[in-house]
Amino acid sequence: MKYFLNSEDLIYTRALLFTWESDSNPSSFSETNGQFFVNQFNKFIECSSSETVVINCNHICDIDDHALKAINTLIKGSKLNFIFYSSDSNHVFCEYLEEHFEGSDLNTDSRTLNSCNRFFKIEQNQSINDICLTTIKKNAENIEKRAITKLIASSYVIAGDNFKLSSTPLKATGHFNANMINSQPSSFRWIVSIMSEVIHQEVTKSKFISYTIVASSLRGVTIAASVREVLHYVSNAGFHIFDHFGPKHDLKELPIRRAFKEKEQCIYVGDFLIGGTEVKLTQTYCNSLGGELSKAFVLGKYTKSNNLGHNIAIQSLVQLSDCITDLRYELV
Amino acid sequence: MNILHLTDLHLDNSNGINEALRSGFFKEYLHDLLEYAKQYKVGKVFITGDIVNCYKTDNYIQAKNIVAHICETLKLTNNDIFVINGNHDLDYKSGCKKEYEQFVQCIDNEKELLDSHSRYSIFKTNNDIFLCLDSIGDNYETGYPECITEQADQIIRTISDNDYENIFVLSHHPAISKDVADYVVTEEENWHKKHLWHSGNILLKRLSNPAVNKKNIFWFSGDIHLPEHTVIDESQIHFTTGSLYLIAGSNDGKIHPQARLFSSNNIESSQLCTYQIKNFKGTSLLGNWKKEDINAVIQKTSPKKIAVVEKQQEPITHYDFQLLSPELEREIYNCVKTEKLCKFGNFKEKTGYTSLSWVSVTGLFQDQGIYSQVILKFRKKIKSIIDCSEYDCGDYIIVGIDNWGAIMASRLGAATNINSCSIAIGNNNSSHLEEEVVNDKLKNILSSKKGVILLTDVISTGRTLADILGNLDISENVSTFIFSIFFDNNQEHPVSFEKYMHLYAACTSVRLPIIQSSKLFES
Repeated sequence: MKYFLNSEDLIYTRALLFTWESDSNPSSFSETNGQFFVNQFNKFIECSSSETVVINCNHICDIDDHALKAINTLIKGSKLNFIFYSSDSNHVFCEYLEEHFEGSDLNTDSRTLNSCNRFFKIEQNQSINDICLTTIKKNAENIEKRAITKLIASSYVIAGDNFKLSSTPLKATGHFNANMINSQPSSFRWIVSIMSEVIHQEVTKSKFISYTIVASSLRGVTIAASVREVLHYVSNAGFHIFDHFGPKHDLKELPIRRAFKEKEQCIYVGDFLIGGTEVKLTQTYCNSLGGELSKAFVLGKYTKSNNLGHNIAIQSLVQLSDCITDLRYELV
Repeated sequence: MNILHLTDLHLDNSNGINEALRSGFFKEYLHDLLEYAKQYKVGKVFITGDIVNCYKTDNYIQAKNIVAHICETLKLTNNDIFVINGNHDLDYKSGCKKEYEQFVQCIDNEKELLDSHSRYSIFKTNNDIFLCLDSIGDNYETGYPECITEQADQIIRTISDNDYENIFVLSHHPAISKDVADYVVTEEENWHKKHLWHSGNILLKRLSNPAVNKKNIFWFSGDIHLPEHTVIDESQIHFTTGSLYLIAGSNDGKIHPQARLFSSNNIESSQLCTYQIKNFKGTSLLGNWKKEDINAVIQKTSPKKIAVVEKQQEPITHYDFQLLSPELEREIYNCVKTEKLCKFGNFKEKTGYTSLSWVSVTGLFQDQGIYSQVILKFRKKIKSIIDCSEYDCGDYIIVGIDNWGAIMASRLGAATNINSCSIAIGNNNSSHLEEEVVNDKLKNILSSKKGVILLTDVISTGRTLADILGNLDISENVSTFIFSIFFDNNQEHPVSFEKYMHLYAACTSVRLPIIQSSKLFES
């Protein structure tokens, strides 16, 4: 996935994508990141005719003094509309923009809509009212959803006849391989950014004071650990790996484990959920160590239900049947 | 022997009014420094290049005056002064260094010359060898360091043929940087390529081979305008010293002009003299020389043996090992100790060795700050590896081993734009999917790469790592870099790391003892 996603009307990106390649944590936006943003934008804009740029600023918790120097020059030198927004109750980026552009000649405005969405708009070619802002945000999110669906579909590996899933006794025509996503830096950055946003919204909604992110497969831990890193400055999550029990489970090989705090809220982060065996096992282990697992977040799920049973609510970035239309899993 | 190290004089306009080393001011400027040198009983003075600025050769007259003044003040002769050229001493259009050669001829003409070439001169004085190198060679257009491989054999032969006490090497570009590069590299693009002399580093390794030389090597350099004093394996002593030049009004916020005093009798410390201007932001050149004791950064590339392990069949040989940050190591060590993350026990391996301890990396990384620091240090090192190579990110792959290796692989892939993958080990490979272990697909991918960066959490006996590397069938042409959070380099490991060449660790001070299982009681 590229840094910028495009439709006829708008260009969409996330500020968080530009922070990984720097000497600080991903939640900090530096001057170098700003310059990097502009470099990537200039490469992209040559082949785009869209007139509005939408930048999701979620999970940026710290901004350097000169972070927007290059972006400022870019904005002034273009005739595009720019919409920055955040919905993570943090709003550091939008607030910084408000201060930065105060008294500027540009036509700027800042809005808070639906109680938690903060917008900062720079109008250069058309006027954007509040209804338009909400619609544009929704359109941008749809572009992102389509791109993620396409990305996850690309990780599907067609298997031969009689292919069985490893963790659940199901026959399948193929399987999704999260390694193909995790191994590509650009895809990984998008996945982690979106997953962080989804988890943060749920944690905020559930009013968790403290919680631990748990993972139990090699492919799940990579996403889980980076999500934890991104969320560190907004919610200080713990992190626990149930080492080496998914997808083929061997009780004997479980290593030394730590106990959770009493009734510690555990959040499962994994790759794909088909039958849910791995999540249920993780829940059992969390319970045995004193924790409570009630939420699971995955890249894709097969089941249509958003509840796995055992009081586990599932949130998935995509529905796997939307990625591969003739996807079938059958009991062996 | 007591030495005064000066470098990067950058004489630009000796008859002007702005430079501290100008004809009308240099005696005042150097007065206190030379007093310190006199008290230190300096016997030799090394000047490591960039005598003049931008090939402004008229300034060699002033350079001669400065050398003469130093000799007079310290009661030395030209035989005690050793000078090499820097990139500014060459015409960047033609590579001509005629004027420099005339200047240095006056200084060197009475020394005992053992061997010489356009790229080097080897002198012998009082039973010590002095190897003066030109690190620029034909790279005069860029001023970057250039290969010296062709002349290395002759240098080695000449040195091997002589008896001596110590070898003193002078080069403008440093052959190593263990400390400075870590924080400078992010501020200047391609810093390593511009400033580090890799060919010089190979020469250093050859000179350090006991078959060639069993004595100490003292290597003095300039160019990077920053100080560094490193001792490797108690026998290779490296110095870079900041520049001596000072231009009025130009020192706002920059490193102070400096010089170094060093005694070969005490290799682990030196005195750094810095010139501090009285009115910091003004244009005056008046100031004071101050000196402070500097302790060397101590590096070890070969592990020490410990008594508990008997001599193994496979001998430990030389490999490039580096602790990435002493500060980070201390932080990790303290966390392991405070949080009681290390457990002692009997962790037997199938290979006949037993680890006597186990450390919880998940416990360590509950501290997000430590995790971030490890990622940043690893990232910096990976970036510098790529900057130093002729290949780009697409020619490398990051391979993470097991959970924490996999986590770091994806994270560092995202931070460096290098593709990554992960492989699982465990005690029983049958409990992993085929895609999670070393498979043909991964081997095919690796076969098209020029460099493999392996990430793991703990290296104990090293067997797992050796098995993986064996299974991956990595070609000899592919450079392999191993990064581990924990590696106890005080152990004698049953495998040799030599073929892997480069091993970097975040913490070496947490003891991870290993022993042959046959030496343990069954109970």
